[in-house]
Amino acid sequence: MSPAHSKFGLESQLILIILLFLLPFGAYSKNKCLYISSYHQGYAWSDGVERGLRKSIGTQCELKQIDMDTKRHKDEAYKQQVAKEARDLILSWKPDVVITADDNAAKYVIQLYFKGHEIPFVFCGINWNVDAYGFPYSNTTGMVEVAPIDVLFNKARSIRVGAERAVYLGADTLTEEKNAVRFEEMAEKIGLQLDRHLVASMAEWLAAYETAQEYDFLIIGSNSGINDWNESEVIDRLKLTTHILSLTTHNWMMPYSMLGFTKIPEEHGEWAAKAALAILDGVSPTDIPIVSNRKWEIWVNHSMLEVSGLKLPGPLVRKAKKLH
Amino acid sequence: MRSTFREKVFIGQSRLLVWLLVVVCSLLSIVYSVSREVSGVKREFANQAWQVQRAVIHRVANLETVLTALVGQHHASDNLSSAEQTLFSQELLKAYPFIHSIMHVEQVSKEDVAAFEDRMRVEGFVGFKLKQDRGVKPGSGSQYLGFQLPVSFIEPMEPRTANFLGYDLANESSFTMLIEKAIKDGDTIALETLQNRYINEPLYLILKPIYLGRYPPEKASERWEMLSGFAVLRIDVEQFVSSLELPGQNLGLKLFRGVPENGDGQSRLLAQFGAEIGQLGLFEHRLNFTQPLEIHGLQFTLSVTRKISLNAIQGSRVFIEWMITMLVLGLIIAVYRNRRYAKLQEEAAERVLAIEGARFTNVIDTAFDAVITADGSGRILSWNQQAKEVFGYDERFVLGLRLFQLILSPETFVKLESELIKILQRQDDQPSRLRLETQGQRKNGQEFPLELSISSSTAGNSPMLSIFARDITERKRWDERVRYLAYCDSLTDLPNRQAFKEQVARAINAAKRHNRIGAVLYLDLDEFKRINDTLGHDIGDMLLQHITKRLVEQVRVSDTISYSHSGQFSGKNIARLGGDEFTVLLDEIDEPEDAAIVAKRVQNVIARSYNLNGHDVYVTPSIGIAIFPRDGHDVEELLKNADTAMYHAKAVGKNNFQFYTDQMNALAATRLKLEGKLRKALAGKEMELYYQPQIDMRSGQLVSAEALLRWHQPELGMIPPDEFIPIAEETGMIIELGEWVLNEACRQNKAWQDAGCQYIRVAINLSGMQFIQRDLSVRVENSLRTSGLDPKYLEFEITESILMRNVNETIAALNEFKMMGINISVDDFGTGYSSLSYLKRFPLNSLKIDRSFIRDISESADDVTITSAIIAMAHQLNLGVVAEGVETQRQLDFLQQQGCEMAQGYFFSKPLPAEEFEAMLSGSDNKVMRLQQN
Repeated sequence: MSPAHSKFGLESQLILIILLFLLPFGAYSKNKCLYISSYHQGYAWSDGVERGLRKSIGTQCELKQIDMDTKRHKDEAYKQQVAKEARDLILSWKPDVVITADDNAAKYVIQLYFKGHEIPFVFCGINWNVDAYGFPYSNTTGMVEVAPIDVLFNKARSIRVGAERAVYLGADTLTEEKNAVRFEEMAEKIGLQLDRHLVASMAEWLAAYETAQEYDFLIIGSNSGINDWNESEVIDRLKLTTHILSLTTHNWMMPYSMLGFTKIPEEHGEWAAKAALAILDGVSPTDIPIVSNRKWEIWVNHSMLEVSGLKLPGPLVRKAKKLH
Repeated sequence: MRSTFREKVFIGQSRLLVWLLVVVCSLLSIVYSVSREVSGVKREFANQAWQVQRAVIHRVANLETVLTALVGQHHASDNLSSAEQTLFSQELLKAYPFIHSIMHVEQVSKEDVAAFEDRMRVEGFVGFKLKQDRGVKPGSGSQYLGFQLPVSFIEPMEPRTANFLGYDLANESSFTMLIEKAIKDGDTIALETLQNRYINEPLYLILKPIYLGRYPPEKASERWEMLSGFAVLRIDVEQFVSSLELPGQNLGLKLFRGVPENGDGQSRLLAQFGAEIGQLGLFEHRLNFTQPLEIHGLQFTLSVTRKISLNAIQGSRVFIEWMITMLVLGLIIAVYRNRRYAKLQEEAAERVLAIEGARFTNVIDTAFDAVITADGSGRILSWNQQAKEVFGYDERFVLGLRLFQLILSPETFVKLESELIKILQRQDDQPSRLRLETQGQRKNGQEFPLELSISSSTAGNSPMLSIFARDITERKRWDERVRYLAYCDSLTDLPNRQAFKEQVARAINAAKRHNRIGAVLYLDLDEFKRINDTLGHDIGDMLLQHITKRLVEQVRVSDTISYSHSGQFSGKNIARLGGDEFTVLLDEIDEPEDAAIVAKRVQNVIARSYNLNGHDVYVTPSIGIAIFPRDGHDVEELLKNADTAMYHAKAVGKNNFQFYTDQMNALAATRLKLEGKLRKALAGKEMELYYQPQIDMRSGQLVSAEALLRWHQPELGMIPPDEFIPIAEETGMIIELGEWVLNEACRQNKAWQDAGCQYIRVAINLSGMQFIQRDLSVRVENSLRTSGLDPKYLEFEITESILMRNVNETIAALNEFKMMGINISVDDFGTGYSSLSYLKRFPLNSLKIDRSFIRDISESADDVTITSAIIAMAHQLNLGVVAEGVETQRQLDFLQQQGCEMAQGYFFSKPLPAEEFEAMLSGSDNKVMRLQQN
C-alpha cells in the first residue's frame, strides 16, 4: 500500500470513528416537545396516554413533561399556579410543539395563555367537545375523548330488557360532569330516565351505589377525584350490596363494574404524537382536523357478576376480556 | 520415425485446412450460441413479463377481495361501530400494504347533510363539515345523483389522512356517471380524483357500493333506492408497484396512467420499480413488454423492460457449445486424417517391414546362437550363419532337410525322438517350448554338448518351429572346473573335505547295504606348524604336495581317490581335509587289521626326510583309524572318532597309529580337563622344578643337574610330565612353561651359588616349539641377566629330532648359545634319526645316551654295542657322553669301563626338590658321598 493510500485510509477511519461516536446524539432530534398532563403519574388514564405518546413520538422529538396534578389538587389557586409554571416553562424553553392531555391543561394553559400563539398545541383527552375552550384556535388541533355511550346503552338494554331507569355514579369533577351530561343526552334520545350521582367521598359513593340498586342498571363513572378511595373496602361493600347490572367506560373502574366498554387512553397519546410530528413536519394545525377516539374494549367482571346473580348473553361473555 | 516429404506436405496442408475450419466453425458456433442465448433471454423475459402481468392482475383481484370483505362487514353488522370498523380495516391494511387507506363514504341526502355534520361533530369531530372543492361547480354532481357522498370514516386515521373526512365524492361531476353505473350494476369502479384544495395529488380510489339491509338488492332500481354508501380503497400506486415480487433482478417495471404509445400527452408515469435502464451501450438491447391494464374502468399501461447485453450471455454455455463444436470437428478431422493417413502408413509399414526384415536377418545372422526355423514336420526353413559355424553345413544344402536327424547323432535322436515328436505334432495354437541339453553332431561326425531351445508357434496358419542351438562345450568345461574347485583341494589335487564326506557317506551306506566294513584313516603331521613357522608356508605347502605324492603312490589303488586336472577321477580315496590333515578311505576291507596295514605303510612312507628347496625336512604322522559302520553311522561321527583316535596317537608319542575305541572319548575328555587345569597351573604356582644330579664318573663329583618339571595339581595330585608335556606342546603352553623353567633354573642355580654351595651346571630341556622361537636367545640372555647366573652354569638339552628338523637354522641358534657360553647336549641320543655329518657341524658339548640303551645293557648285547658305539663316536667327535637312567652298579661299571664321563640316574639320586637337592649339594647326602667314595 502506498503512503497516500495509507494516509487516506487513516483519515477515513478517523471520520468513521467520529461519526459512530456522534451517532447516539444524532438519534435525538433537535425538535423540542413539551407534554403537559393535567393529572399525575400513577393515574391510570394519564399513564395510558403518556404510554401511547412516548411510544409514537419515540426519539423524533426531545420530550419534556409537566404533570399538573390537578386531580388530587382541586383548588383553583393551585391549578392556576401550576398553569403559570407551565406557561413560564413554555416561554423560556420554547418548545416546537406542546402536547396537552385532558381538560385542565387545555383550560388553564392553552385557553388562558396561548390562544393563537405561534407555538402550536395538540390536545387530547378533552371530554366530548371543546366548545368550553373555544377550540379550534389557529394553533391548536387534537383528539376529543368520547365514550361508546350508544354501545353501552344498547348492551344494557339488551341485557336488562325493558329498562327504563338508570343511574350515573361518578366523582364530583368537571370531567365527570361532562360525561354525565353526555350520558343524559343519549339517555334522553333513547327514552331512558338517567339520574346522576356525583360524589366527593367514598362513603357518599358507597351510599349512592346502594341507592342505585333500586334502578334497572347502573353506569359507573370515574372515581378520579375521590381522594379517600379504598379499593378493598369498596369491593367488600359491593359484594354485599350488588344486585343490578353495572356498566362503565373506564377500564380502571372495572373492579367495581360487571360490564365495561372502556376507552383506550393510548389512542389519545398516539394521535397527539402523530399530530405533533406532522406539525413539526410542516403541516399547519388548522389542516389537521379535530377528531375523536374510535377504539374501545369489552370487559366482564365475573366476581361482581357472581355476586349479583345476573346472567350475561353467552356471545358477549365469550368475546369480552375477563376480570376475576 | 521420420516423416516423409509427402507426409510433411500432407500435414502442412491439413494444418492450414484445420485452422480454417476451426475459425469458421468457431464463428458459426458462437453466432449460433449467442443468438440462441438471446432467444432464450427473450423467452425468459416474455415469461417474466407474463408473471409480472399476472401479479398485477392478481393484485387488482385483491382489491376486489378487500372491497367485498368491507362491504360484507357492513351488510353483516346491524350496528357497526367505529371501533369494529377500525379494527377490521387495520387488519386488511396489514395484509394488503399497497392499499393506502380504507374509507367509508355515506350516502347523505341533501336534506340530511346538516344532521350528518351534526352527528359527526357530536362524535367528536369538532367543526366537521362536508368538503367540496370550490373549483368544481357546487352541487353539480350531487344534483345529478340527488345525494352527497361524504367520507365519514378513514383508516388509518392520521393527522394527514383525517383531513379527508367529510370530502364529498358526489361533488365531482366527472364521477357521477361512473357512480351511477356502479350503484345500478353493483359493480366496483375506479376513480381518479384530481388535485384540488383538499387533495395534493391525484388519488386512485376503488369503490364498491354498500346497500341497506343484509343482502344487496338484485334489481338496479332497488339498488339506487337502497344505497347506503361506498366502501372505498385508496391505492398507494408506488407501493402497488414496488411491493411486487419481480421474477428477475434485471427487470424494470413502470406503471403509466393512460397509454404512452397514443402520444396524446395524457399518459404519465405513476410509478416505477426494479432495474433502472438508462442509456444503452454498443452491445446492449432493450427488451420491452407493454400491456394495457384496465382497473375497473381506469386505463393504465404496464411496462416491463429488461436490458440484455453480451455480458448477460452465459459465456460458459457458449464455451461449452463451442467446445462441442470443436470436438465434433475434431472427430470429423480425425476420421478424415485417419483414412488419409492410413494409406501413407501402409506404405511406411511396407518400408518398415523391409527394414525390419533386413534387420531381423542381420540379427539372426550375427547371433551367437545357431538360429534355425523349421516347418511343422521339422524340415529346415532357415539356417543362419552361426548354424553353419556350429554344425558345419552350408544353408544351401540343408534347406528342406529334417533338422533333428541332421544335427543330432542317431543315438541321441532316438533318445529324444518322443519329446521332439510331441512338440512337432502339437495341434493347438498355444506356443510351447522345449529346452534341453544333449549331444549334437557336426558335419564331420564330431559329437559335442549342445543346448537346444525349441519353440513351436504358427506363421500364418502353418506351424513353425524356432530352434536356438548353442555349442556348450566351453560351458561344460567351465562347469567341470567349478565342480573341481568345489570338490578338490587346489594345493594337492586331492578331494577336499566336502568331496571326501560325500564319498564316505556313500561308502557307509554301501557298507551297511552289503554288510561289510570300511575304515577311515585320519592323518595329521606331527609338528607341521613348526615347519611352517621356521621354513615358511611355501615349504610347508611343498611338503604337503610331496606327502600327497607319496601317499598316492603307495596306497593301494583300490583304496584311494584323487582328482586330476583333467577332471577324471582315478578311483583313489585319499583326501586333504585342510592344513596338514589327510584322510584315507578304505571302503572295502575284510578286517580292521587291513586298515592297520595301510596305516603302517602310510606312516613309513611319510616319516622319511624330504628335500625341499635345499632344506632337509623330517616329518612323522599320527594316524587315527575309525572302522565303519562300527565307529560311526554317519560321516560326522566317523570323522570325529577318527580324529579322536588320531589325537590319541599323538598323545601316546606321535608317529604311530591308533584304532578308535570308546575309551578314547573318555581319555579325550580327561585330556581336555587337564588342558584346562594346565592353563592355570603357573598362575597357581603348581609347577615345581626337581633336580637330578649328574656325576662325573672320573672324579665322582656332582658337576651338574638336570632340571625336571613337576606339576602338583591340587585336585589330581602329581601329574606325570608325559601326561601334561604333550598337552603343553599341542596347545603352545610349552612356550610359557619353558620360559618359566629357564628362569626358575637360572634363579635357583644362582641362589645356590649365592648360598655358598658348590658351583654346578643346571641342564634344562628345550622343546621343539621353544627352539623355533625367534627371540629365544634374547629370552635366554634376559633370564641370565636377571638371575645373574654365569652362562657356563647353564646347559640346554635338545632331542635328536629337534636337532635334525632344520639343520641350518639349528646350527645358527646353537652357535648363538655357544657364543654365550652355554653348554649344549643332545638328549635321548640313539632313539632318533641323526645324521652323523650334521652332528659334526653342531656346536655340541655332549651326547646323552638314551636310558633305553642303558637299562638293557646287562641283557642286550645290541644295547651294549650301541652304547659303546655312541661313546666311541662321541669321543671321536670330541663330545662328552652322559649316560641317563643309571640305576645299577653294573651299569655304572660298564660305563666307566667304556670311558663314559658322566652318569645320571636313580643309582645316584632320584630327581629332588630344590631344598633337598641343596642339601645334597652342600655335601650332606649319602648317595653322592658314596659315589665320591667309590
